[in-house]
Amino acid sequence: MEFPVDLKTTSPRETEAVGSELAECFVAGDRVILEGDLGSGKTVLVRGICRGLGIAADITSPTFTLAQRYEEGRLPVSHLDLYRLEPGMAGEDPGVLEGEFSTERVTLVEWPERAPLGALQPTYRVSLQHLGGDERQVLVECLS
Amino acid sequence: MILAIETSCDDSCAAVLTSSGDVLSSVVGSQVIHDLYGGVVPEIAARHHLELLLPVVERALAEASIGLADLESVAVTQGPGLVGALLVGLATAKGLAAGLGIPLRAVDHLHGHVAASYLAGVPLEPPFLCLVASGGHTLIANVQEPGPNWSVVGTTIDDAAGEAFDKGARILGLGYPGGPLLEEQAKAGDPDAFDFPRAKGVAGADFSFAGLKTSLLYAVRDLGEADATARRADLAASYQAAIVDQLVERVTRAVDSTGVSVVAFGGGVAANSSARLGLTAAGIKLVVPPRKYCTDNAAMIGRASLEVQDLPHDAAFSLDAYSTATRAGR
Amino acid sequence: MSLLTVGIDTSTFETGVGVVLPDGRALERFDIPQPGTRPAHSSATLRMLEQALSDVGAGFDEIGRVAVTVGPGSFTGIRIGLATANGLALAVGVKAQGASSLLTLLRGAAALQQPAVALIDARRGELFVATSTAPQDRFALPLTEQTEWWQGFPAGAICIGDGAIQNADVLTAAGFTVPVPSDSLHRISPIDVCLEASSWPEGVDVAPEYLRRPDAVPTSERGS
Repeated sequence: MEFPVDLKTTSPRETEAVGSELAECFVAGDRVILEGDLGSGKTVLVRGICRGLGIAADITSPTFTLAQRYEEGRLPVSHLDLYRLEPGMAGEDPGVLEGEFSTERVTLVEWPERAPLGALQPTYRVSLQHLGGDERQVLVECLS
Repeated sequence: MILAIETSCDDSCAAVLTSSGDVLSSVVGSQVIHDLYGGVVPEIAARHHLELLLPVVERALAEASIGLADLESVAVTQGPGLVGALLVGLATAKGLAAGLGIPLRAVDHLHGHVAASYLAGVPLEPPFLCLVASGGHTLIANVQEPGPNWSVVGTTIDDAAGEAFDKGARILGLGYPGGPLLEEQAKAGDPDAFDFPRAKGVAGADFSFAGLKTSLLYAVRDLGEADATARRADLAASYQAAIVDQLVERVTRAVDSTGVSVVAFGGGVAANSSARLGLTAAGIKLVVPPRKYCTDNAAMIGRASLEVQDLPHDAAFSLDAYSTATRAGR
Repeated sequence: MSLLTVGIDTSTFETGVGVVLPDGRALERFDIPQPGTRPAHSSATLRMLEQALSDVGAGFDEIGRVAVTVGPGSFTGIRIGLATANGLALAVGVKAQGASSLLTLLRGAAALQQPAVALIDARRGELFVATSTAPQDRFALPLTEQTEWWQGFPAGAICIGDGAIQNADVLTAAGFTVPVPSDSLHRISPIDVCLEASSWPEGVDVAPEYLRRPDAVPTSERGS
């Protein structure tokens, strides 16, 4: 894959396929931040990434659990959604999420702006934008 | 006596049950925060299981009027949930069981929600179905026998139902946690004002709420800020109706496909009266435990532990948390 | 029945447990993971402790004090260690007592009549550091190639801990002593944890000493 990737998808299936292709580039320790409004397809893209890594499990939203792990693929994955946290993770026990960022995993983070300044050290940024209906603009940048 | 511990997500919970499953006490973290911090609940409280769990356990023992020496086993949630939270409960439970020389039982969080059905105060025996709908999970369990070996009839393929309520509330600018706020708003609205999708394309008894959320977002955008605010009650009512309709339809399909007619309803969404009414109106024989046993609690973990074996000694000491439930693993 | 003290350390990659008897006899055990494997904090701690107790002819019911390292080190390991200690302590009717992992390392080198620096791997290019000359100042130190990050260390100090082993070449070249990796000075001794924790204030709950937020690095220090 050549970065940046900037393309339009016309269905969730296509968005998922972008994720699967992207997953082939990933190595242990990669941290991917996912940006985009509610319903812009972040979970769909994560499902694609997981499929691309050989994970067959149902990929559901981690909004409530904060983090979900999938261990059975080519690389272990942690899927995080920091939406429910205070900005800068204020008041949070910092140990609660530490394991999700261990270097043998791929860590996918929604709402990364809730993390402390500069804390995530992302290697990729994925931005998803509504274009109306099922159409989405997908931008993937490599940051490392 | 059984001491049960649950730390799968936000709350530190402990409960004491008799060995026949009567709940003597059930304590959640917010109750001891008051004791510890003197009334003002600081932001620091959520997910500080390490600080909260011991006071919660001590309060559960005190409310049950028993001592540690009365305990015969410790039950603890092993997963699914947030691993960084689960491991605090697990390690504490292991230390307690080792120190007291009593057995440990590992309980699946979802089995806990299913077993909460037995705390509804009505006679209930398998076979029955159990709709578990919370912020983190949405599934229909087919319980053919007591124990953790129930099967999944349907489960969400994206968002949980409780999350759909919360994200809907967020889109409508109602605040967080949104479930009760959205329900309140919906009371003044017309559930037929907007036609939101019911995930018709999803087969069987599986759920999908991601498309619904996007539809609400588009409806709000199309209306513009002023109109969307003016019609908030209608939007909330129509959105809630779409969630409830989907729950009712999937449960009806599950009843039809399994031939099991009694349905227990657990998880935080069971507190939504529109959901309970919808299911009852569809002719479902509904069993709903008290609210305190629907949201995350340790009493349900203790009740579920009656249906699992003591862990062998070595397995108890080496027990590890797991994050996600898989269909295959069920 | 005379009661004994147990010590638990899960603040680094290793898992350590120790037993100290009232007559002063003591025993400790370690689990040292192979390179590339995960720490065994969750699975090994109580099994090893049970074995250690059995080796001195005792059982869990003879525990009278529980000592545990509160960090700094692995956040996950610290949480497992503290929760395990809390559970054990509650069961035997006492409060767990904490010890700093860095101060426990320094305690092991206290007899040397030479200043010491304790260095624990903080990952992400950082070390947790304490010196015997100012042990109350414990901090996270970013490792950079551009700066002499060791310049605040006391001259001629002996450097110990897994962070010292990892940076032995640089530290040796800068004039510090680093014992060979197999030297027990590098290891947090659970027996020393029992001794160090005896100064833990009575009635105070053990709490993690993280020294920093997870993975937090000031934006100005990030690579591009």
